[in-house]
Amino acid sequence: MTCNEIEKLLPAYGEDLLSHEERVIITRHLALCPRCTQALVDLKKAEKILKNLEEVEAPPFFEQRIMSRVREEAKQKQGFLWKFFYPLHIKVPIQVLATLLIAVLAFHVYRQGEPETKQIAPFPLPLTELGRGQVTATSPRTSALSSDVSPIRQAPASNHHDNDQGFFVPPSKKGGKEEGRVDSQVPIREEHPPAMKTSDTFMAVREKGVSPVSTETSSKAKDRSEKQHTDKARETFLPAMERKEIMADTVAVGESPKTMSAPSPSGMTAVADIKRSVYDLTIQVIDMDVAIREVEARLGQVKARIIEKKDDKERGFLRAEIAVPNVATLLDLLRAVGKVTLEASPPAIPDGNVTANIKIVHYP
Amino acid sequence: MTGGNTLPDNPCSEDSHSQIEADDDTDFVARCRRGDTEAFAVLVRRHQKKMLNVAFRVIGDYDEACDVTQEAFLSAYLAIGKFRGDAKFFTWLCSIVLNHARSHMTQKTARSRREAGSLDDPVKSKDGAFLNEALYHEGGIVERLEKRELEAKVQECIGSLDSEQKEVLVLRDIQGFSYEEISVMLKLPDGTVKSRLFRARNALKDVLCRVLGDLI
Repeated sequence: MTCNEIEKLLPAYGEDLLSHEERVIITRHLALCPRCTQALVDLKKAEKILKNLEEVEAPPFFEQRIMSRVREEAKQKQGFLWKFFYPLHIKVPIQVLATLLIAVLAFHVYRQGEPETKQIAPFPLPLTELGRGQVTATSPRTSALSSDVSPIRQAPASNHHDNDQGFFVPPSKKGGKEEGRVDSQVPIREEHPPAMKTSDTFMAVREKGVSPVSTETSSKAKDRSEKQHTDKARETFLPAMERKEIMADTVAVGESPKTMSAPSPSGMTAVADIKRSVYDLTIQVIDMDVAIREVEARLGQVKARIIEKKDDKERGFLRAEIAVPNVATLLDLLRAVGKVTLEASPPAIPDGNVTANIKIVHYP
Repeated sequence: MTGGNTLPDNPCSEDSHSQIEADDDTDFVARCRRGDTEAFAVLVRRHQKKMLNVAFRVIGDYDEACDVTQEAFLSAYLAIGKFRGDAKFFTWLCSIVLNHARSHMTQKTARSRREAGSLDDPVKSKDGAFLNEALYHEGGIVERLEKRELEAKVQECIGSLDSEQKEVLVLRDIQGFSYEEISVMLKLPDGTVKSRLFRARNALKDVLCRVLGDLI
């Protein structure tokens, strides 16, 4: 072995990591070679120097510095929910309050901004009236229908008809012409036949196909403003005869009695229909599919809004809302599609929207 | 001259104490995994000095070593979920410190290459001696004690070594880790660690002889 080779093995020699043969060779070489012996001495000294190196101390607050960074990172590491709900005693009440505020605002906006909802809302009845056998604002309609249903049930219905004038009329609207008419027909707080029990009232309601919910709704609606009361009274208190006519028309055009007497949601829609004027048309056509498309196109031309559409092979039905001035145009346009028969039309209305029920039947 | 096993009787009583503590790290590591930062604070308190020394001996600059150690602890906290417990936490932590120190040195070298060398920078001669050494230490040379001056020179000599040799030398001859631990830290076979260490020792001996003259 040369000195260079020996020198390379000296560190391992110092740690006693060589084989016995290598160790013997190096020991013999060191005994003869002062340069390699010096190298081994220097190696030991270098190791000693390294051992004696002083350890450096951590700077003041080193741990705090590290931990502040760690805690910062730990916060960022937390999930979204943790961030959202921490600290609980502050965030949760704020979130609950915010939710309540949003709910109240949403309810308020809904009530203020939904005119259709107001229109179809049933007219409130005082509980005293309910006790005397009055049902709800929908009762005129249901009573009109019930007269066709069963003679046994006719008695309370006719009784109710007789008590049409028993609706509550706000005192503030007595001056007008219409109110005068109402007043002449509807004396306020007139004496009525002996009151029904509340349970009887609900039974009567159920028999007439009107949901008790509407009764509840009417009692809740009682709390509305006086102005709303007056407006609704004016709308609701159409002359009894006129209402009967409308109802008869509606039934005559073949609208399902089930729909008419359905529980509250459809019942409320039906009330809205009464308030709107209704045109009932029948169009006799040869090709149903083509005709329905044509009718839809014509409705589009007069800017009518299609509310309902039913279609089968033999019959088609379209319900649309249309501005009064466009009705005549629509009739003209529909005559181009087929033979139009106007089965029912409302009394002359100066302005606003009307509903057109268009039946399309196959002409053999 | 008998070649006794001179290393590793390096670990002093403090080191053995930290070794005992290292065995107790398991519980704290488990708590850290559950997000307990206070448990990690205990681990930081236990190991910060050792980790700082490793970083300092590899990097050679105290402030930079502090920054690197801090970053390494942060990385350890964030990655503690990946710690499988095969090795000791202390060993795992040390490997993180070494990784950070290595990447720091790489960046530092690249930066110094880009920037023009300052006239105040130490200039090495062909034999590795610092030619403008006095100028380099001008800031505090008057106050420096002889020992500290020697240590600074030794540190510079360590810094002049190849980075791979330097790491092994620091871990074995300065910090006193076993070959097995070093193998785990550097992910190297035992034989590679040893051969690298022996080369490092010879290289350091040569540099020290050139810088200091006769070794004390």
